[in-house]
Amino acid sequence: MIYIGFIITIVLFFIFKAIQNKTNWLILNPILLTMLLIMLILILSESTYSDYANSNLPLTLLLEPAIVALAMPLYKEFVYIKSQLKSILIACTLGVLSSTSTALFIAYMLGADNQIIASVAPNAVTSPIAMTLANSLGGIAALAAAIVILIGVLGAIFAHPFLKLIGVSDKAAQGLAMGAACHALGTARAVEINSKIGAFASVSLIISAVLTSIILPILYPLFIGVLKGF
Amino acid sequence: MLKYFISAIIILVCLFTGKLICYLFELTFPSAIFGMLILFCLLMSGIVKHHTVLPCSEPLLKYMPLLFIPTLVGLIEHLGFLKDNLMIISLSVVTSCIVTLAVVGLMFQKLNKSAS
Repeated sequence: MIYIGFIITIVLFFIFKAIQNKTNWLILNPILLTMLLIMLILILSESTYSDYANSNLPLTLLLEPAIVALAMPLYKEFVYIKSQLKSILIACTLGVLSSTSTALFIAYMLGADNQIIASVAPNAVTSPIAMTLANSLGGIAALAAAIVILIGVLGAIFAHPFLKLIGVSDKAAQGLAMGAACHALGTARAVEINSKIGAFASVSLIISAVLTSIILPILYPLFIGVLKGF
Repeated sequence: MLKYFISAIIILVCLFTGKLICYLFELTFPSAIFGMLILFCLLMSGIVKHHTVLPCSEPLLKYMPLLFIPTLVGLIEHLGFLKDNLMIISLSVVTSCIVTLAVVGLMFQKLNKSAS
């Protein structure tokens, strides 16, 4: 009985994944749909979230080892991008600075509390990392992850037309931007469009995640301190 | 079976070394990402071979989305909070995404042109 939540998560995820593979519609994101349906099930069956979370502990515990495993694709892509490493690092660092500070600044200006600010700040990195970052800054991990996935779905649809519109025609630059701003889902879309765009997107996905993890814990207290000083 | 065991041990050793360092130095840096950087350094220096870690890293990365669904469902406890702040959240996040796309795209295009 205790494992029923665990079984539901796995079964629903694979059903929705199969549906997306069949239809190829980005909007039918299996993570998003599984999340919504489980929330509905929990509400209708009047179950508590903590019971569900406990039965899913085996999955949650594997998340951290999975983040460590991200070193593998980074290592594989590294050889490929070595010659352009400097430009990539400059562009990604600027990207990380603009994504975190824009989100921090607007949320603060609109009067958000610290919990919200800490949850929107890591919006450009891949969800598991956004979750750990939001957590360590005092935000809500689930909220940060949901934001990231929604941005990814939107980005997968609109990012490429937008880049062409503002005059970014270089394929490497398009890929790098999609990976930096729209993480995994943007990268998945980039791979579909063109393999060169895809390769650069996956590189910037990981590099941006690492840079954000280094920059955000330093930037966040500084930012809050400066803004509160006014 | 042994190859799965070895790759699992390598990943876990990296993770716990990362955790230990973050704990000892009281860092806010996410310890799992520290673990990832340790594994990356081990791979780059050739101490650990890519194919040795592959048996466990491959399924972990393939099914990664499944692993954060339980945490994501935790949003259910913050629905009221989310509703009250929906405007702030969407405005800040969408703007941030658009700015980042433009900054990274235009910047790298410029750097790439001046390099060639």
